[in-house]
Amino acid sequence: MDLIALGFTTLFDPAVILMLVLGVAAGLIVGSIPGINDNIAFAVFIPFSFAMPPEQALALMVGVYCAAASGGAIPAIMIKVPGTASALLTAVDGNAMARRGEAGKALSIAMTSSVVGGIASSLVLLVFAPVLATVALRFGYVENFALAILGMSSVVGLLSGNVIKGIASGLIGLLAATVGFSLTTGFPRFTYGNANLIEGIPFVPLLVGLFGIAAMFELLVDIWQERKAGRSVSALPAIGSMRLPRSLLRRLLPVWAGSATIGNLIGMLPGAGMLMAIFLAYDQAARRFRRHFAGKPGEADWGEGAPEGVAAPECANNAVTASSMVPLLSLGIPGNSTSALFIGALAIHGMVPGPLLFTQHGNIAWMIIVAFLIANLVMWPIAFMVIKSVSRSIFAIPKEAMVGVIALLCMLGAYADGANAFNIWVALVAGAVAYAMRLANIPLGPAILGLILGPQMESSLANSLSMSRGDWLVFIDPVNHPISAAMIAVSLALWLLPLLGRWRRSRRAETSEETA
Amino acid sequence: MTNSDTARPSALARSDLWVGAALFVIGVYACWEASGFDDNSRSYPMILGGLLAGAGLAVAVAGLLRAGKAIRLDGPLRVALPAAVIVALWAVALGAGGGFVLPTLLMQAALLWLGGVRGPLRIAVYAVLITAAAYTLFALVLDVRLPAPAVSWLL
Repeated sequence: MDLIALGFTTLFDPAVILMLVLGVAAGLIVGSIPGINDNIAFAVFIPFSFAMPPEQALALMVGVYCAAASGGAIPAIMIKVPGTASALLTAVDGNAMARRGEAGKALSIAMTSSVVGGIASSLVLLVFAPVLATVALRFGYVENFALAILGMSSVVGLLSGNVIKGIASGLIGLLAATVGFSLTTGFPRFTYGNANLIEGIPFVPLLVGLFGIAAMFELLVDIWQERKAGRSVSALPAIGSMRLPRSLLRRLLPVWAGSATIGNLIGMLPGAGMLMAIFLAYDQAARRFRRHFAGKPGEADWGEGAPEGVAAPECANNAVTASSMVPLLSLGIPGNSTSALFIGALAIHGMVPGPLLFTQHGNIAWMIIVAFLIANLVMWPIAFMVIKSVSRSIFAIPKEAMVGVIALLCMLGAYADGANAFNIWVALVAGAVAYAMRLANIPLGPAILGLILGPQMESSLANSLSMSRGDWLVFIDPVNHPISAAMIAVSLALWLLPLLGRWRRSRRAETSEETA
Repeated sequence: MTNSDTARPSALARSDLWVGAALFVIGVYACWEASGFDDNSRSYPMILGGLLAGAGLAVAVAGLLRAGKAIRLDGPLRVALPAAVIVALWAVALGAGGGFVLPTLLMQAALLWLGGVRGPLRIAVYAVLITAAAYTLFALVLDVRLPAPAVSWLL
């Protein structure tokens, strides 16, 4: 209880709580801009948070993180353009409701569901993160290396399609992390005599480029393709009443319970990702809808404006936000690609998430945990204010004008980190590389993780091998290093289980072909 | 539907072949560059470079064997590449003493035109508004020292 009180004391500094509220409002607004996803929202706000004290900066980022996922529902419902990937399924039933004059009701269901999912997820974070963190004190160089391996292995779940390209992406990130002085000898590596690279590739411009600039290129190409196809965005429907009748709230309760459970479980699994939770929750809501409501008078078909179709994905995506911080805060392993960016926000302020965060920066770790709870509590009224005021203005900004806004915000954000023009080039090159990777279907997530975990992996590997006199078996020694051995075993399982599943599926397909 | 949508890519047009080859070259280059580091600093990047080259080779071979897709480059070449050039020219202008306001106005106008905004007045109004908002936010609110112009009458 003392530790929770410490978190509240740190958070309830007026400047810190103000940043949290601003972060929630900004996250909702930015998330509701089509084309700007939660990753870009993070990238845009990281430079602003750089100059702030860590408490204020991290409160701001928690607010942005929680709210951006919810903000994406606004354009998804209003114009069927998901503001974020997490609102992909919300657009189906949400926009159908909006088209039949129930935009306000759909928005209200989306925001209420987000808050329910977010609060459930914050409570899970409050209970489980400290439990895992008690293992923290048993971590040495050997365990840290095994943890970095586990972190890198966790991206297997993020990969869809070509696994080798995912591995290549992780290796690119690890290689890029070797730029700068060698951690063991101080030898300058891959710096080419450039003093700006001596301490490694500047992190803020790198993040801004990888997400913001690459997104700017994508947005430009989207606009070009839309113009080429002769498509245009349809007119904005009226929002109308946002009141939810009690009968509807009662009807949605089981959906919220199921979706929050799915979101929390998936969120705590490293690498499982938000989309998996949304699809699973949507599926269970569809089954329930078909059992109880399909075909009844006055009920829309599934996919044609069913309230459960909005409630399930919105509740699940926000249930992922805080629960994905359980492995991140306690073990340093991100639950999804956006929470991987949170590691960057912590690293900028000299903090490494993982076992030692609770011992070295206990006030910050506990503040982050309680900030998730408070952010979700304040999000409900702020969301309604944003919908009624700012969102209307945002939909009036032409998509074409957003290109220049994103470019300038990102470039100046990168430059502002030390007022160094070199950073602009870092952001531009990083953006071009990230965009080329997307074109080549190489996932970006593993590269980001490699960049972040690279220094820890190299230094803990060098120190472990030095202490064990070059014995590589030290990492799987079940007697002296059981935690390391367990983490290496889990890493192996993370790699092998998908391969095993694929092999089983192909065997089953072969068998059914033979039978036919 | 355009020709590029329907055409089956030839072996040389398959994206994975080129992507794999590029990854292989980067990996080999990293290995070669790392071989020049001191004894204690070279092994880690050399291992990573070797693994990257191996992964690149695997992607290239798989690309050659499977009937994969070709990368659609028409959009990126027509709008993303010019946008990158515009931003690069803006960065050069900032570094060459062009100040903040004039290069930024020109960059915004070019990006707006590239994004499909038409009409000189509309472009000018948007460019001025975006530049003014960015100047206010970064120079006045956040107190960021923006690049100084070579001549005093420029902002």
